[in-house]
Amino acid sequence: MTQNNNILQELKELESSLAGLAAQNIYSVPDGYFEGLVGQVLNRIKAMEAANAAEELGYLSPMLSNMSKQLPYAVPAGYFESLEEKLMQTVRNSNDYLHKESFGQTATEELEMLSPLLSGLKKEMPYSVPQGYFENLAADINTQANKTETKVVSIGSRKWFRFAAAAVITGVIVMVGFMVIDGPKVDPGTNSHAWVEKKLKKVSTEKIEEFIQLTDEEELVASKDIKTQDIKELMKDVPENEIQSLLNDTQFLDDGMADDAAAETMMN
Amino acid sequence: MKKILFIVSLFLVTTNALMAQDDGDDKIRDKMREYIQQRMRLSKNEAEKFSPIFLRYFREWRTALKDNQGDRLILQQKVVELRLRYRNEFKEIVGEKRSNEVYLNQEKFIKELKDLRRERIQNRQGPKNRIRDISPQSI
Repeated sequence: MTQNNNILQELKELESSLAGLAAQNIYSVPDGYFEGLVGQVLNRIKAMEAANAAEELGYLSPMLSNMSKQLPYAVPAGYFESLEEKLMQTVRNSNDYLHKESFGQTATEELEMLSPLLSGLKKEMPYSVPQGYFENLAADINTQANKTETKVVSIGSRKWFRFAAAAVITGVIVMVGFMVIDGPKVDPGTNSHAWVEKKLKKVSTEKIEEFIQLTDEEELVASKDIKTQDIKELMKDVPENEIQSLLNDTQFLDDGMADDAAAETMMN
Repeated sequence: MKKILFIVSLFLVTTNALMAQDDGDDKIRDKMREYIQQRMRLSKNEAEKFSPIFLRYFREWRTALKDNQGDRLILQQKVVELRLRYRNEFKEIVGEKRSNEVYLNQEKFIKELKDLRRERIQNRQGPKNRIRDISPQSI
């Protein structure tokens, strides 16, 4: 009690709204809850061990298990058998039906009145099968299947076909052989020209010509048309030492890419 | 008879188809690359690295030749620029000292091609004309 007062005082000091609330239990159980609890728990356990559904239901809900199994509703005897007739009778006796134009007409007469087109159609089936068609169908199918056996034409039986295949294979083998067996090996390092000649055997002269024409543009020597004789004539008045001096000065040009001898020297 | 003709023509078509594959536009380019690789004694590893760079170089070299046919000096300038640029790439594969050999061997290959062409033309003209050398060097 002293402790409760202390707590209450502390709550008041803290100005908490809890201090104003009455100290009462907010939870409650239904009346007689604990009295019947033991019995309910036991019934649950027994239900779990029940041998059949009726026994289980008896433990779980005695009220449901005691209810009668009979349906509360029933129809008179022969109700459904006479239902159609009764319905039609009801329709005929109704005021709407009595005042209709089609009163007293048969179904055919009524259809003629509603849709002459439909009533004018023949009632015969447009399709028909010969007599006994379905009875003999299985036998007919078997007969047809036996008749239409596809003619088997063996590829192997055509001799010329074999020869043609052999010709193609031989052609491939011969050509592959030509490609693989490429004659004696030539080293471009020691026999440059022979190597080029061998490797470009299959390239046409026209293709080589075309390629060379393109590379000719790059060459410094633009004086292909000038003949040695012309140069001699041109330089006849120039002293020998002057020519030599010029040649010495321009020697680096000879060390260019196009000079094969220079190239060999550089590489070695 | 028809069947025999068919078989023979089949054989010819097969061999022709295989032969035709060799005479492509890139044949000279490939042989030039092979020639340079063998002359420079490139190892398998070096050749594998060299090939794609050379193919790129060759493509640009041909384009430069085609595009600058009107002006020889400009053409030479373009080719020199191209070679200087690619020399850096070749240098990484074959070293600085041998990087110029690529171009030297390229020129040598072209020279060999010219000789081959001259020989072929002489052979076409027959034995009488073979004695006369028509190469520009001989003039």
